[in-house]
Amino acid sequence: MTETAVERAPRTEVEPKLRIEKLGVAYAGRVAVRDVSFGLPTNTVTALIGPSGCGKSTVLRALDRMHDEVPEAEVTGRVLLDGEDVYAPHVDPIEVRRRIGMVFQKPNPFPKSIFDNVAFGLRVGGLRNRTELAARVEEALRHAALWDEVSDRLGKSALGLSGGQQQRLCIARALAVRPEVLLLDEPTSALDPIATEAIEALIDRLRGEITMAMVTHSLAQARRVADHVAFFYLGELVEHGEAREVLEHPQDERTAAYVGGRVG
Amino acid sequence: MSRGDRWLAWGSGLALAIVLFATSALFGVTLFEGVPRLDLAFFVEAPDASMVGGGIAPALVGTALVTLLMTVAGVPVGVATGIWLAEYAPRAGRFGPRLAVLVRAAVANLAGVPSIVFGLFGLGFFVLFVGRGLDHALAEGAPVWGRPGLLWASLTLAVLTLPVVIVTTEEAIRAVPDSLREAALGVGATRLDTVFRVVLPRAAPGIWTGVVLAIGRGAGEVAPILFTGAANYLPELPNDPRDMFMHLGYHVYALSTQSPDVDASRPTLFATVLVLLALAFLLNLVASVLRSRARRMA
Amino acid sequence: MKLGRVRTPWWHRAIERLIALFASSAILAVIAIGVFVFRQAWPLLIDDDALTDQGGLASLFRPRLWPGYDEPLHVWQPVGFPGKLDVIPLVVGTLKITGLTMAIAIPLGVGGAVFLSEVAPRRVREWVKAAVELLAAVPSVVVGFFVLAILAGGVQRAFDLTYRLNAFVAAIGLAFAVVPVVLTITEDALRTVPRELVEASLALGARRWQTTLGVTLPAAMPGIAAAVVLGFGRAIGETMIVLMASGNAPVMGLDPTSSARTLTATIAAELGEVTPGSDHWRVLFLLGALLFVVTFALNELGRWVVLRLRRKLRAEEVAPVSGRARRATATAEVAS
Repeated sequence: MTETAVERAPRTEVEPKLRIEKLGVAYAGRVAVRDVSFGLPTNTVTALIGPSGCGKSTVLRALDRMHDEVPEAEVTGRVLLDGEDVYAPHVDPIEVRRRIGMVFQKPNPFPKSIFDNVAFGLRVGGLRNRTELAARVEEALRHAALWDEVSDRLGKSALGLSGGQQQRLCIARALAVRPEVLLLDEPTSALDPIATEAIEALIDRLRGEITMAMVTHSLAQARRVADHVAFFYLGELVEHGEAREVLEHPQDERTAAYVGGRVG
Repeated sequence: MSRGDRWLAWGSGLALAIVLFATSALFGVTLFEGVPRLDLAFFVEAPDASMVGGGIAPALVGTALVTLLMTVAGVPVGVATGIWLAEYAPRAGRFGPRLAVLVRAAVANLAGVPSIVFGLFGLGFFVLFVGRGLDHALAEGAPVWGRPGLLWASLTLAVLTLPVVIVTTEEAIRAVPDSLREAALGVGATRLDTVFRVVLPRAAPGIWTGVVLAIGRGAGEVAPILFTGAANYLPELPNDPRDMFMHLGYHVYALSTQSPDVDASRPTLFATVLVLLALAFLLNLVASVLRSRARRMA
Repeated sequence: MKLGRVRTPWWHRAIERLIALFASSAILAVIAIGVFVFRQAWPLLIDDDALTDQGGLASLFRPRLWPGYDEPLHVWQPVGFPGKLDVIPLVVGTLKITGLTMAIAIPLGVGGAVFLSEVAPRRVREWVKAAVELLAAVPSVVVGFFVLAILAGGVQRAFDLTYRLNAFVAAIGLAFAVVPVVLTITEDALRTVPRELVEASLALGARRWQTTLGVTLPAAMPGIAAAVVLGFGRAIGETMIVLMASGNAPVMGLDPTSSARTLTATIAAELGEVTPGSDHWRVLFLLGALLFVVTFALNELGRWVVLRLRRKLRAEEVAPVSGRARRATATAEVAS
């Protein structure tokens, strides 16, 4: 299965915000993802879909160099942020992660106050000024549509929030450092439908401001929020293009089988 | 219950009952014999020259000082080792994991070294090698550094308690969920930021458990300080880290084996043992409170 | 924006280096202990003038016809004229006391652990474990004192012994230190036996005790072996208890009611009073080096035993019906 993925994204002249070129990831020599190439167009939402275990999260984590933390993981290929390879030898993963934020599957707030959670990235980035910190925290919380719910208890522990609020807090925490790209790894899989709706609404509002990539297991969710869809199967990118096109008229039979509910 | 089941229950229960009986006998007798001798003077006075009367103030202070110095010297090293084993070794290239295997083997062996060998080591290394070396280098006439003292005893105990701190720190850090690390790394925190701002605060109760256990272990050990600093009878308090010092545990040993009048010193002995036991009990209590807090957080 | 503007601060890397440096402390400590204890004993091994009045290095282990004695004997009597430095009585004393200790501590420790993990209700277990932890935290000098002041007299009256302080009471005292080690590790080992194994045995109709003896205990064997080896190491290395309770006479022979003197107690009792650099001083350091090597070897042996047993158990798990399960079925049939 070395045929190239069906590429149906309109050949825009604009360089995508993040371009992935021949990305491969292997764990301890076992290939998890191979030869993946696609782009995240600026300020749009791209959904990474496919059956579980097909490498969606692996690709996502490669984009902000989280695999650097796994000793036996090996990443090949290039990931170009504004045309520059984030894997270039002179680039520190710290910087990559500040410019490319990530939200994880399960809400993972620190056992700290709500304020300290959101301020965390700013503080490790060296921001000390209290007024500016407060302003940036408020901005991020407003951005994440959480401000009205927590503004009166910023000093309280983040663990007191509901699951959906915790996940929005994690988004706010990621947004606080003003990343240019936001990666969301199944951000609603641990949440109830109402909380899911709130997160989806939030993603919709962020569209046009920030480039997003989201792994999801739900085709319905991909339909609701994604501008573009990338379909992964057995560690390979099978099809990539505008959401409506890929979901309504899949070209590859594997995509058709998945979208039609016959696989996964 | 079948007959076999009853046999098993009674047999194993008897074994446990013996252990518990022995433990409570130890505590009970000490309490019974020791309490009558306790008064304020016992804690604030120095023993008299016959070591029959008087108090244990110098031994109390000496024990506190040697334990404090030991903690200051040993805990940072132990905690750093635990951090390295849990956070850095798995990612430190090809050598990291191999070195970690070596470090763990060393820690396990260090924990098994007899305490009296630590005493020999303290004498051979700290007093004779380092201390005498300093005397030579500073051209001191009489040995100033190269003789037993508080500092050398503390450092010896620090090496002895190192494994306790290392093992508990590593365990506590490993218990911190990876999701927290990822959250920190995901916003661009460095590994060090992640460790100090997220991992360590979360692992703190577990690490403190180790520190308290180490203090308990260090405060009660006598064999390592026999030749490295403990004094038989020294009513003055040490005012220099190179001075010798009195120690509760050593005091018990000295009183019960070298006292001129064993019967006369018996009440003092029991009271001193009671203080040592109370100390062990208290530290143990603190450790288990901390540990249950650590468990709740994990 | 160009990449390459933000870097991990240099001092983060510096602190990380420092942490890595500290991490080697345990290795350095073990090496330093070996080197600096051995260093004091070294001249005995290379210097021809050492131990001349004893008859050379080998005399440390050989019986000799001492002036005033009728036959060649192993004698440790460094303050006599001449000083007699034969370490065999000390080795015998150590083995005697350690053996007795293990004979007391293994049944108590393993039995107690079986009760805790297999019989006792949860509430009881929590309390008892706290008590055992407390026992483990009792300083050995306190145990030594307890034996010396209370236990020894009682034992002497009860068994009508000639010597108040002897190998037997020292072993009882040592058991105070060793039982918590054996008990806690064994209990952990028993409780990590997978529930499926126990349930499988019970589902086959085995009784509780059959399951415990036939399935749980064998499956926990690596842990129990480790518990015994570590307990043994603790017993050999313990100083203050034997120093205070054993009577300290370097007697040959295995009579448990006679006094005995261990390697550790000898160092503790004599080093403070010998001339640094003398043969006696060096022999004491040699004993320390011997203790270091023995406990080191025990430790490695323990780790090796655990590894081997674990591998063996895993190999058995692969077999469709293990011999143990078959035995459990067989016993169940006999019992019913």
